Amino acid sequence: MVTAVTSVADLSTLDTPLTIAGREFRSRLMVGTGKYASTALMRDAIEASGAEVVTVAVRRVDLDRTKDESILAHVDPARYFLLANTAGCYSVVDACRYARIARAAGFNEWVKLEVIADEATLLPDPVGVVEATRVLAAEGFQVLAYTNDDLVTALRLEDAGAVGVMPLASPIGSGLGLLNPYAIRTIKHRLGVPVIVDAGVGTASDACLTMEQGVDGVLMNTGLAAAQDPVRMATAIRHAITAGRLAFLAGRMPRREVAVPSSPRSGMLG
Amino acid sequence: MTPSKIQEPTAEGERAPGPWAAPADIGTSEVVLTVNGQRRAVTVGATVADLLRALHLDPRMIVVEHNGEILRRDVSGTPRVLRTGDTVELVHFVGGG
Repeated sequence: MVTAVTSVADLSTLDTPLTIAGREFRSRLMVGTGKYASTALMRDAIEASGAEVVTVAVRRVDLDRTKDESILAHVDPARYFLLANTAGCYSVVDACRYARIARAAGFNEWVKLEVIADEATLLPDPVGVVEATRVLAAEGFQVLAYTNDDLVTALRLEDAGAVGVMPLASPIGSGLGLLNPYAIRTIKHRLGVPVIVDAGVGTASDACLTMEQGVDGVLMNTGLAAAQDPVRMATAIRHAITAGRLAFLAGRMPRREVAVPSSPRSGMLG
Repeated sequence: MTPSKIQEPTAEGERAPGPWAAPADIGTSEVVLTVNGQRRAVTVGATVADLLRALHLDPRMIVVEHNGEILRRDVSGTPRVLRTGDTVELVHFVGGG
C-alpha cells in the first residue's frame, strides 16, 4: 500500500479557499464514505485525498449486529466536517425527515440534499429537490442541493435558499465522467452560490476536466472506493483537483485549428 | 441505615401507583412496540433510555425518533415511557456518498 503524499505546494498564494455559507474549507475536494472494501482502506483514502468535507448517510441501526457499526468509529468528527446526505429518499417528506434526523445528531446544520426520482438512473427529482430546499432552508439548514446539470433547476435551487448547488457530472456511481461540460460551465457562470460537481467523476482526468470548467469543487465517492487502489487514486484525485483549479485560474490558451510553430521560422540554415 | 428499595403496600392488596402505570398497559407485564421495524417487548414503565441500554447502544452515537418525533440527543435527561404500539427508530450515520 502506498502512503499519502502530503507535500502539495502551498496554494494559498495561487488560489482562494472554498467558501460556502461563510465557512472556509481547505480542500476543493469532498469525499464520500460508502462502498470501501474495508474501513481501514476508507480511512487511508480519505486521508490521502486531503478532503475536509466527508459525506455520510443516515440509516437505521442494525439491531442484529450493533458493534462498531457507526461510521463515527472510523471518521473523526473533530477532524472532518461531516456532511450528512439524504441518499435513498424518493420524496420531499422523506428527505426532510432524514435531514432533521441528521441535524439532531448535533454536528452541524448542513445537509447534502438528495431527492431521487428514478431508481434505475438515480437521477434527481428537480421539482422535489427545489421544494425540499425551500422547506429546509426555512428551518435554518445550510442546504447543498444535488441536482441535474440543468441551469434552470440550479437557478431555482439558489432562489429556494440553497447555499450551494451540486449538479451531477453523470449518474451516481457510473464513473462516466463529465458528460456536459457546457452545461456545468453555464451553471457556474450564472449562479451566485458555489457549484460543487457531484456524482459520476471516475478518475483523475474527469476531476481535472471538471475543475477546469471553473466550478468551486468536486465531490467523489465511488471513483475512489471502487478503484483498484483507493489510496493511490485519492492521491491522484487530490492532485487533479489542484491541477484543474489552477489551470482554470491560469486561463487556457485559445483553441486554434491551425498549427502555429513554437520555434522561429527565421534563422534556418541556408 | 440503608433505605429499603422495596415499595411497601400502602393498603391491603394495593400497590403504590407508579408514573409508569399507563392505562393501556394495565394488566400486562410487558409493552410491545416496533423498533426499527421489528416487534420488541420491554417491561412496563421502560423508557427510551432503558431501551437503548438494553440494546447496548451508546446514546451519543445515535438519534432516536419516537412516534415520528425526533428526541433530543440526551435521552437520559428526558424520560420517555414507552407504550404498547409505539414506533421507535434508532438511527445513526453509515458510510455513504
